[in-house]
Amino acid sequence: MKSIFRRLPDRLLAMPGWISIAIIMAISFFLFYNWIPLFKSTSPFGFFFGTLWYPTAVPPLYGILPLIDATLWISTLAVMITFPFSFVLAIFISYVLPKKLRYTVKNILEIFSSIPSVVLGLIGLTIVAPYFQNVLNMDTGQNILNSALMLSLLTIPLPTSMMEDFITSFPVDQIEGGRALGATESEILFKIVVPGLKGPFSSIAMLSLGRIFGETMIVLMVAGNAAIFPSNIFDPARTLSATIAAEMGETPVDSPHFYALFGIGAVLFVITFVINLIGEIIRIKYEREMGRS
Amino acid sequence: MEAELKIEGLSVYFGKKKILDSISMEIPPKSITAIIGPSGCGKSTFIRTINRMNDRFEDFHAEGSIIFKGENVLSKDYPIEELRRKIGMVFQKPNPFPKSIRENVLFGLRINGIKDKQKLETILKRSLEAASLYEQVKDNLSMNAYKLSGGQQQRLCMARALAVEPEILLLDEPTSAIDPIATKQIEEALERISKDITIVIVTHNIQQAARIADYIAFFYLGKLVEFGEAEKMLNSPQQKLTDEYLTGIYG
Amino acid sequence: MNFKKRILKERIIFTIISILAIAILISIFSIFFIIVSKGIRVINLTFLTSITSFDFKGIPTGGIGPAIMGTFIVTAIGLAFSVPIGILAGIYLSEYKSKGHLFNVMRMMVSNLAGVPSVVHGLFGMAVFTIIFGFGLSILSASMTLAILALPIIIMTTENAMKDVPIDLREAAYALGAKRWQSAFFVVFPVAFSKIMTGVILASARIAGETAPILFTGATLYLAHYPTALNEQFMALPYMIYGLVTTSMNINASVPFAFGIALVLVVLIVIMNIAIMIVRSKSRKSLQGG
Repeated sequence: MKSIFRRLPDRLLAMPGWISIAIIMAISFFLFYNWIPLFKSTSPFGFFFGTLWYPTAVPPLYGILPLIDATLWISTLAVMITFPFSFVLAIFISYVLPKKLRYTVKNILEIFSSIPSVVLGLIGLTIVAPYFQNVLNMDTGQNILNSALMLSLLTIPLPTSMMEDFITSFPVDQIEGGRALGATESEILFKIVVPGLKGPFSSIAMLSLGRIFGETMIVLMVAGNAAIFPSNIFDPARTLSATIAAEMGETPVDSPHFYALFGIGAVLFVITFVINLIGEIIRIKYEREMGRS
Repeated sequence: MEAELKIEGLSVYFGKKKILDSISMEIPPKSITAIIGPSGCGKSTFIRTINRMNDRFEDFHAEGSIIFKGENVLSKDYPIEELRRKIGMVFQKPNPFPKSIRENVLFGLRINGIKDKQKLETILKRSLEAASLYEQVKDNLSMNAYKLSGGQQQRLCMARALAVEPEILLLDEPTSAIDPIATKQIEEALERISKDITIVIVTHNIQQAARIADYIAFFYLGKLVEFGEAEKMLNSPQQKLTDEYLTGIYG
Repeated sequence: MNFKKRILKERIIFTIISILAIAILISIFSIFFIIVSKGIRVINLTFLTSITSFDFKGIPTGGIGPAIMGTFIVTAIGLAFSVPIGILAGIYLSEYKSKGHLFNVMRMMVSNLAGVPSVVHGLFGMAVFTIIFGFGLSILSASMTLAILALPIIIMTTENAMKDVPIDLREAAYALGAKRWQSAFFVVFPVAFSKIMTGVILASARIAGETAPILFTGATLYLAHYPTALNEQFMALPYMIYGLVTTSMNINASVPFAFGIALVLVVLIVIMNIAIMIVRSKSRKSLQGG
C-alpha cells in the first residue's frame, strides 16, 4: 500500500508528459477526420494528382498538384539560399569576427530570429515587390523569387546560431591535433570540424527544411495568388499552406471545400512530420556515436 | 563486537565488465575503516554500492548481499531513501547546493518534513560544529555556499550529511581535492565523529589511512586482498600484495 | 612555395566568407532600418491607445489600442495554459531517466509537435476549440490554439535547462535520501529557473507574432472597441498587419499604418529579447558566487 503513495508524485508528474503525445494524436485525428468526407465527392486520385485547384468551378476541382509544385519551387529555392548562407554566416561569426563583436552579432541574430513572418511578408509585399516590378521590370513583383528571398531571411538566423554553437564547442583537442600537423585554419575547419559535425548539421538542416515547408504568411502575402504550375522563379505561385490560409476564412464548415482544405492540412502535417522524424533519427544516431556522457 | 555492516560475496558488474569480485568483509561499528588500493580497483564503486548510488546506471548489476541491521540493503524491496538517511555520503568533489549555508545543512531535514525551528537551529549548529566549520561561518549562515573555499565547502557537505544523523558515513576520497590544512581539519573532525558514527573512507593516500584509520581494507583489481586492524596491517601485512603496495610499488 | 599558396587560399576563402556574411548582415540591418524609419512616422500616443476606425476612403485612422490589448490578452492566456503543463512535462522528461522506448517516443512527439506548421495548428484549433468545444471565434479559442503552439517550445527549453544542471547536485540530494521529485523541484529546478524563464519569454515572443493560428480562430480586423469578453472576437497586431495590406478597402493608404503596427510588434519583441539577455547575465553572476 505504501508503495502506491511513494510513486504518486512521480505518476502525477508524468501526466503533463503524456499530453504532448495526446495532442499530436489529436491533431492527426482531427485532420483526417475532417478530410475523409471529401472523398464522397472527389476521388483520392483527383485530390492527389488533379492538376487543377479550382474550388469555384462547377463542378469544383480539388487537385493539389499545382500547390505541391509551387511549394516545391519556393521551398527548394529558399533552401538553396538559406543553407549556404547560414553556413557561411556561422563560420564568419565563429572564425572571423573578433570576440567582442561575436556577442553583439549573436544577440542581434537572436532578436532577428523572433521577428514575426508577417512583418517580413509586409516588407516583401510593399517594398521588394514594387522594386521587382518597377525597377527590375518583372511581370509581377509577387513571385517565387521574392517569397523565397524573404523566407530565407526569416529562416537564416536560427540554423546560423545553432551551427555557430556547434562550431565553437567543437572539441579543442582535435583542432590542436590538426594545428600540430601544420594545417591552416580553413583546412582544419573544412577537413576536421565540418565533417565531424555532419550529424548535427544534417539534423539542423532538417529542422530548417520543416520550417520552410510549413511557412504560411510570407508566401501568402508575397508569392501571389495564382494556383497554377509555375514555370520559372519569376512566376507567382500558391503553396499548400498559403491556400489554407487564404481560403479557409470564406469556406462554410462541412462543405467539400472545407474538407479539401483540411486535406491539404493533413498532407502538410505528414510531410513536416516525416521531415522532423528524419531529423530526429539523425540526431539520435549522432548522439549515440558520440557516446553518452 | 557486532558488525555495523556485513558484506557477503558482493560482486558488481557494469554490463559485462566485472568491477568487484566476491567481496566479503565486516565493517566494525563506531570506528574508522579506510579502504585503500591503486586507482581503478573498485573502491569508489564499492562504497557507492553500499548506499545504492550506483542504481542510477542502467547496466549496473550486483550479486551477493550487504547486511545492515539485519536486512539486505541490496534487495529490491529495501526503501532506498531511508537507506540513504541512515548511510550518508561525502563526495570527492565538494557539491554544495547553490543555496545559503543554512539551507544546505538543513536540506536533508526539510525534505523529511522536520519543521520545528528550534530543532532545526540546534541541529544546524551541532552539525557545523561536528564538521569543524561552525566558528568560521556562524555569522554568515545566510551566505551563498559557493562563496566558501574548497575546504570549507567540503566541510559544509560533511555537516549537511551529518545533519540527518546517519549511522554510517561514507566518504569517497574527500580530501583529494583539498589543501593540506583543510585536510587536517577534516581528518580531526572524522576522528571526533567516529566515536558515534561508523566511518568508511576511501583514500588513495596511505599516510591519511595511517593517521586516522582504525581498520584498513586493501582492494586490488576488484578483490579484497586484506582486511585488518590498521597498525597491524601497516607494520606487518599478511599478504605479499599488501606489503608491496604499502611500500610504494603500486599506487 | 606551396606554403605561400595555402596562405593565399586561406585569405581568399575567408574573404569570400566575410563578403557573403556581411551581405546577409546588411540585409538584416536594412530590414530593421526600414521598419523603424517607416513605422516611426505613424507612431504617437493616439496611435497606441485609440480604437481603430476607417474613414469613407477606407483609410485607417485612430489607433491600434484594441489590437495591442488583444495581443497581450491572447498571449497571456496562451501562456497560462502552456507554461505550467510545459514546465512540468519538461521536468519529467529531464529528471526521469529513459527506461526504454516510451521516453524516446515522448520526446520525439514533443519535437514533432514543435515542427507542426502554424497553419495546421490553426486548423486544429478551429476544428476542436471553435467547433467541437463550441467556443466559436473567440479569444478563448485563439489562446488555446496558441498554447498548443507554445507547449513544445516550453517543454524543450525546460528539459534542456534542467539537463544543463550538473549531476553532482542531484547526487548530493539523493545521498541525503531525497526522492526524485524532491531533488527535481528543490535542487535542480531553482538552478535551472532562469533558463526556463528564458524559454517562457521566447515562447511569448513567438505567440505574440503568430498570425496563421488566429486567422480562423477569432482574430478580426474590424472591432470598434477594446476587447471585453473571452468569448468575443478580438484584434491582434500581426493579423492587423496582414489584413490591412491584403483585405482592407484602401491598401495603399493602409501601408504606413501597417508599418506602424510592425514597429510596435518589433519593439515588443526586442523588449522581450532584452529581458532574456538580462535574465541570462544575472543568472550567470549568481551561480559563480564570490
